[in-house]
Amino acid sequence: MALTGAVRVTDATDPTASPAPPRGTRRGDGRAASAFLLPGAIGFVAFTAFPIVASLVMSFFDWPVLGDPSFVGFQNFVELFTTDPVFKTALLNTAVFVLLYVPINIVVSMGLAVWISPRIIGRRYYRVLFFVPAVTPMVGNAVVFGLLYTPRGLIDSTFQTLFGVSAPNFLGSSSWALPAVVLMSVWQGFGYNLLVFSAALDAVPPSLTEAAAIDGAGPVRQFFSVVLPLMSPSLFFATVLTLISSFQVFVQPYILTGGGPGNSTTTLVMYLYQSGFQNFRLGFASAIAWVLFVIIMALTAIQFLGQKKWVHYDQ
Amino acid sequence: MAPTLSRRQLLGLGGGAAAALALSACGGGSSGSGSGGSGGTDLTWQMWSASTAEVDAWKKVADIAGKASGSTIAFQTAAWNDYWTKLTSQAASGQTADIVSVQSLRAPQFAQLFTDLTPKLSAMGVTESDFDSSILDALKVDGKLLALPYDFGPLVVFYNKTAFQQAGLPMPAIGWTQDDFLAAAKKLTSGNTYGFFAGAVPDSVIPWAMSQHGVQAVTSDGKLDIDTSEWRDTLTWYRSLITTEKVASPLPSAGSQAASTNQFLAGNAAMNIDGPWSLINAKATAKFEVGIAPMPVGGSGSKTVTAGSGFGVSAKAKNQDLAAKATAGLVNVESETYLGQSGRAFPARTAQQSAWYEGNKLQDAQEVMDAMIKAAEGYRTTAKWTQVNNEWNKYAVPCFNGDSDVDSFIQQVMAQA
Repeated sequence: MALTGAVRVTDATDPTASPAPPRGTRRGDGRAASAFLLPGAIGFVAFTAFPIVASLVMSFFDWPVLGDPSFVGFQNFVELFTTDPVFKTALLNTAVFVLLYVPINIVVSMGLAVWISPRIIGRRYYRVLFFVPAVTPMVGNAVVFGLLYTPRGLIDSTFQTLFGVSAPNFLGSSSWALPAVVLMSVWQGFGYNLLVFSAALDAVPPSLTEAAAIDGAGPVRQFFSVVLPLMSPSLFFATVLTLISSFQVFVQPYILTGGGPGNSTTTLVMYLYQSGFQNFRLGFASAIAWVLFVIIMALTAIQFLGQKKWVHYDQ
Repeated sequence: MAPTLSRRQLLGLGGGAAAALALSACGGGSSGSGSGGSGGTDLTWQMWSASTAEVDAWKKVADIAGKASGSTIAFQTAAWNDYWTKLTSQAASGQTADIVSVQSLRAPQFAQLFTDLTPKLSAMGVTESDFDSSILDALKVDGKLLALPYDFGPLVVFYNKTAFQQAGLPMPAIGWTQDDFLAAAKKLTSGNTYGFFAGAVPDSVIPWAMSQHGVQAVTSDGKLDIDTSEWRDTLTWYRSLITTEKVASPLPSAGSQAASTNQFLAGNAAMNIDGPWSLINAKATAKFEVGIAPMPVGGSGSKTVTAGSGFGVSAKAKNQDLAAKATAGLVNVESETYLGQSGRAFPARTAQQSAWYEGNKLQDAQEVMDAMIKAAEGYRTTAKWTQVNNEWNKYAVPCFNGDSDVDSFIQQVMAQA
């Protein structure tokens, strides 16, 4: 339909044009379009394309901050996967973070979106309230959570008052630190997906759920058989973006735990930062960045391939 | 007749103007980050700062140095943590300021950035003996003087005088021992208040290792070495303050380097290890009387390390001689007196140290400071000290909290050697 319309417009603007004009002779908005695209293109080349290519080149060098770089081929990558002890831990920590964070984020945001989806009193205020953590600065949130988690902080004091025992030393314990970071991240991040799901729920035609109800479907069956399939494009969108952002987790462990205790909360981006800006190994850091890039690309591609099976775009 | 523009021409002009704007914005950004020679200034100087008051103080020092050297100095600044990231990025792109500030602990790491000041000292009008020798040594790497020190200080024990009085304890004085320390810490520990705060950074432990066994974490020939029986002993003792003696709270997290000072200032820990650079702020912030005590006497006496900071000339500075003269101006008598009196620094120039005591009513600290400066060595670090510090910080938490042992801690830190 849209394509037909476009052809008609073209025909209307140039009625004397022959059915198949020779290429290059037809006047168009090419130059103007190029001029408008140029600022964006310059920005893209300078701040995206060039750094990407530069980091790929750097990953094949031993590139210290001070001194001259030297070509080392695949050595940085070989070191990452064979001798470097921290990389494997960082990879595992990142995987655990993603596996915990993404499902919890989706379930919490979906659950709250469903809860506020009927026309309940104060629905708009709940939306704002739930969205507030997503728009407050991550560093500020992390500092506040650091105070809550610390021994003698609010959580510990509450534990002592209610149960007479101390709460775990959340950020000082190797087994509690990563779950504590995940919890803080979920609190910070669920608001965004909640808005997406909330909008998707509003778009579900009530006639469909009513029809399902007439057919005898209860609320649970209605949700899983009617509402959820209709929301699947939003769910797909939210899952892809949440997965990508969770692989890039940095600020939360950086502020809350410094990657510790031990390396129990060192994530890939955190290790990248440490390698580049604290250990001054820019080539090695670039290699980590490329491994992360490949992982994210591969998982996103799998998600896109898999969407055919469960995402329904036709209304 | 005014020229008329077609839709295409108008669009083209609009797009062209937008592209030109974007280009000029990019161009402006890159030229703005260049150093020196523009905007009527002769030299640029970069230094960290934490407040507007500090920025004003450094600008005044820049004026003093400018007058002394016949130059105009543009001051650039960043917060402490950002400063090192910025300096690293600038170094990577070959764009540092003409005069660069550096902390002694990080001097080996950034040594390549600096010009050796030793052959320039007489032309700069600087006499080495005017400065405290330990901090001057700490700013030398491989015999090369990277920077002239402006401040320094020995790590000492900060204590809560009010808590000591309330517990009926004698005030810690010169000659107090590690047994006295432990006894006081035990008496000061009750409920959620602890006698001491054990830090997760090397600075918190090194003075103890020195007082107990006379060893630093880095040997005199510049090698990291904590894989020794002496260090094992000190670390085991330090760990016991949390795990068995329970006179120090468990460490909250590896990311909280300021935790020690914060917990002390909040009144949650009656003693901690800190430097004189924190004393004025501590006295102003704490709701109790703050005192400083020497390191308690251990098997090797009462010993500690000194650390401080200074200003050096960037190897990239175009006018090396002018930058060297200006650097001398930043630490001349007038600058050091001003910094001392205003409480911004404990002057590295020995003759101007009285300005710090008198200007800030800290005469009561002088006896302890004098004793500890005398007993102190320059804090030795390696070129990989940031890595060492990070690993120490991360692995000290499980080790000191009792979740892992001293040997694995030593192994992790030594892996950074």
